[in-house]
Parts: sequence; structure tokens; C-alpha cells
Amino acid sequence: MAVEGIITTFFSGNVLGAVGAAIAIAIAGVSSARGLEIAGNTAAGATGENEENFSSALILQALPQTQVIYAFIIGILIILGIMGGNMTPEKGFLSLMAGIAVGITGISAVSQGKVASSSIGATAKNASVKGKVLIFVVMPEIAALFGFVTAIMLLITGQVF
Amino acid sequence: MKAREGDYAYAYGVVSGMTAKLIDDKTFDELARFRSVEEVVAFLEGTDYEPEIKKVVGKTIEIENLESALKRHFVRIYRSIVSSIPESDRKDLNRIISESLKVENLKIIMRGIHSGMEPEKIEEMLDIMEDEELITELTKAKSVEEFIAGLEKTEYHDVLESKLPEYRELGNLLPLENSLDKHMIDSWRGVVSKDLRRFVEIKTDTINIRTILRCKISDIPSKDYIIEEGHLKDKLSEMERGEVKDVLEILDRTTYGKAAKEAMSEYEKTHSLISFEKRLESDILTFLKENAILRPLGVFSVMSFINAKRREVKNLNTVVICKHYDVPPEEIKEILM
Repeated sequence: MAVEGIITTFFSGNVLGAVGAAIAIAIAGVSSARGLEIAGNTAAGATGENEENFSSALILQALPQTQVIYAFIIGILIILGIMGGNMTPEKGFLSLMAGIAVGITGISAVSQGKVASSSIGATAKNASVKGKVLIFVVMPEIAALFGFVTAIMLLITGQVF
Repeated sequence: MKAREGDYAYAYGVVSGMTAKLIDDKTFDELARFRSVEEVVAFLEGTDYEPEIKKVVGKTIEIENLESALKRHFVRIYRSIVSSIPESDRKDLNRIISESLKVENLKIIMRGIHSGMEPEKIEEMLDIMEDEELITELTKAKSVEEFIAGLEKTEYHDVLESKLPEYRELGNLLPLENSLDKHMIDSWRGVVSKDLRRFVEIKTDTINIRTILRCKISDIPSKDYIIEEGHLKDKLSEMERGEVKDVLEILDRTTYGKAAKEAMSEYEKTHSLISFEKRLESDILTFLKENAILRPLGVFSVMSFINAKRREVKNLNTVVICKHYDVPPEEIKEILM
């Protein structure tokens, strides 16, 4: 009876949703932080050598932050669903899947940080490539964007919020 | 702990910022056309060289002081870069760069003394050095034996002295130069970084190829001079047995194939391998550059920049000396690296 109670509680919509939100923000958050760290270190080095590198470095450095923003939005939507008081196990499961989708694709922030770092270096060497390298940095974002859209669709399908 | 890719992010930023400030070939062409040393100095005062140049510029400009200022600038930049790389690679990179500079300078001095060059001429050929006083003193040695005696308080003394009988017997610098190379590779043993180990292997191959070919040309058995390491380790005994052509053919089947092919046609025409040896050295720089592009967040970006800076300082040194002696601009351009 006690075991059945634990299973029922664990697989309740609220718990599944909460796990989904936590996974989303935790994985994407750590990845964004790592991406920002890599790009930020290069930006600091380049700016230390020449202050004129600051503005372009700042734009490029900021890009790996978007993954955690996507995860934050998904997390908020799931929590709104929980707060609505109508989180069935089915909705909870879809919320968990949405959290996993946006969280795992958020790992792309690490790769994006490396590309941003290389691009900050390239811009420091030759300022005229500023616009072009931005395209390279945006590319790894696509994976995160697909994850975000999928997560939104999952939440809409389940009418979570 | 091994350095991770991201650990090089700051160093890469520093190096990228500094790369933008390097003097390009077009500016060097202009510098070659400047009318006097004073004009070159005025130009340098508007660059990163300013702190070092300002210290030596007074009412009159002494060439020796200017040369020292340029070398001091290199040392400052070098130290600032090395301090920005991950601590786990710092000691190894320092060991690699400083040992190769020392050994290169010692070889230049030995060759100069062996061929009876004037101390001033030898000094002009020297690379950037750490122990300027000792190196300058060594250029004044009257014989190779005196040069080795001058190294008494250094680690190189015993290394070179043990090969003196062979040098005397053969009348060739090969045993001495090879002992320095072997000592250098020995001192690089145990480097932690995978990238630096790759660099050491390539450098070992270059030394082995050069040694084997020089031995063949001078008709000296190469067995005792080989370093049993590097990518070519398995091919060394085969290379030792053949003639120059056979060695080049073996190399043709390796990553050194392109250079070997060119060397083969040159050797057939001139029986000289000088440009092949230069090509092997420049291939190391190309290896660094290519890997710096492929993986910017790594030690090769730093090494590639250090080489570029070293080239810049050597070229500036050349310009300053040439301007002092009124060498025509066209000739200066030809001397520049």
C-alpha cells in the first residue's frame, strides 16, 4: 500500500512537471554558464589587449545565454501549469518531455561558446569580419531553437498552461 | 591535471588581440624605405614597443641599445602570454620555447666560430636570447674548445665536452650539434599536453631526418646520432642503411613526402639539401599555423603567435641594423624573413 502511494505520488502530474522544469533549467543553465565562461574569457583577453574589441566581443559572448532563456520560458510555463491545479499524469509526462527536450538541446551552448570564442578572436585580429562571424556563432543556436519549439509544441498539445 | 580546450580561451583572446598589432609585410616594406634609424625609432614609439624604446632613446641612439630594447619587448610579450595559458601547460611550453632558443643560439655561435667568423657578425645572426651577457661573451671565443669551456657553469658543458673527441676526429660540427639536439629532446621528455607531445615528435623527426642526411653526405655512420623516437621511429633503421636518394624515397611515403619530393629534384640537380632542411623547419611553423586555425583554443595558437612575434622582432632588428649601415631598401626587403 505504501509503495503504491509512493508510485502514485512520484508519477503524479505535479511531480513529473516539476522534474521537467528542473531538468530544463539545470542542464541548459550549466551549459549556458560554461559557454559564457569560454567566450567571456576570450573576450576579456581580447579587450585587455585593445578596448575597441569590447563591443563586438560583448555581442558574441552573450549568444550562449539564449539556451537558458529558452529553458527558463519552458520552466515557467510548466510551473504555471502546476499552479493551475489541473496537472494530470499525462500533462506531467508531456511537461517532463518538454523539459528534457529544451534541457538537452541547451547543451549546444557549450559548443556555441567555443565558436563565439573563436569568433571573438577572429574579430580581434580583423575587425572587418565582425558581421560574418556572427553567422557562425548563431548556427549552434539552431539545435536549441528546435528543442525550444518542440517543447512549446509538447506543452500546447498537452494543454499544460 | 591536463588543460581542457576552454582553459585556453583567455590566452586565445590575448593572442588574438596581439596578433592585430603585429607589423604586417606592407609596413615592413615601408620601414625598409625609411631614411634613417631615427625614423624607424619614431615609428616604433607609436607601437607596442614604446615602453622599451623610450627607455633607450636619448639624445643619441645607440644601435646596441635598440637591439636590446627589441629583445626585451619580445621577452615582455612572451612572459605575458605564457602567464595567460593554463598552469598545467605553462612549465612545458616555457621549457620547449626557451630550450629551443638556447640551443639554436649555441649552434649559431659554434658554426660561426668553426667557420672563423667575426664575433660581431655572429652576434648579428643570433636569435632572441635570455642570457644575453653569457651569449655575447661566447661569441668572442677563438675556438670551439674555448666556446665549450665558456659554458662551464651550464648544463651544456658536459654534453658538448663528451663529443669533443669526435669533433676533433671528424673535423665536423655534427657530433656537437647533435648532442645539443639530443639534450633538447631529452629536456622535453614528460610533457603533459598531447598537443605539445605532437610538437616534440615532429621536432624529433626533423632532427633525425637532418642528421641522417648530413651523415650520408659527410660519409659518417648515423647510428649513434639518431634519436629513437618520433613518428618515423619504425623507419629509422631503414633510413640509416640507404643512400641519400633512398632516404628521400622512404620519406616520400610519409607525411614528409611533399618536402622529400622537392628535395629529390633539388638534390639531383645541385647535390645540396639546404633548402630541404629549411623546408622542414618552415613545415613545423606551417604545422603550428594550421593547427591553430583548426583548434584555436589550444597551445598551437599561442606557439604560432610566439613564432610570428619572434619573426617580427628579428625583422625589426634587421631593419635597424641595415638602416644603420645604409643598406639599400631593396636589399633589406630581400634579407627580411
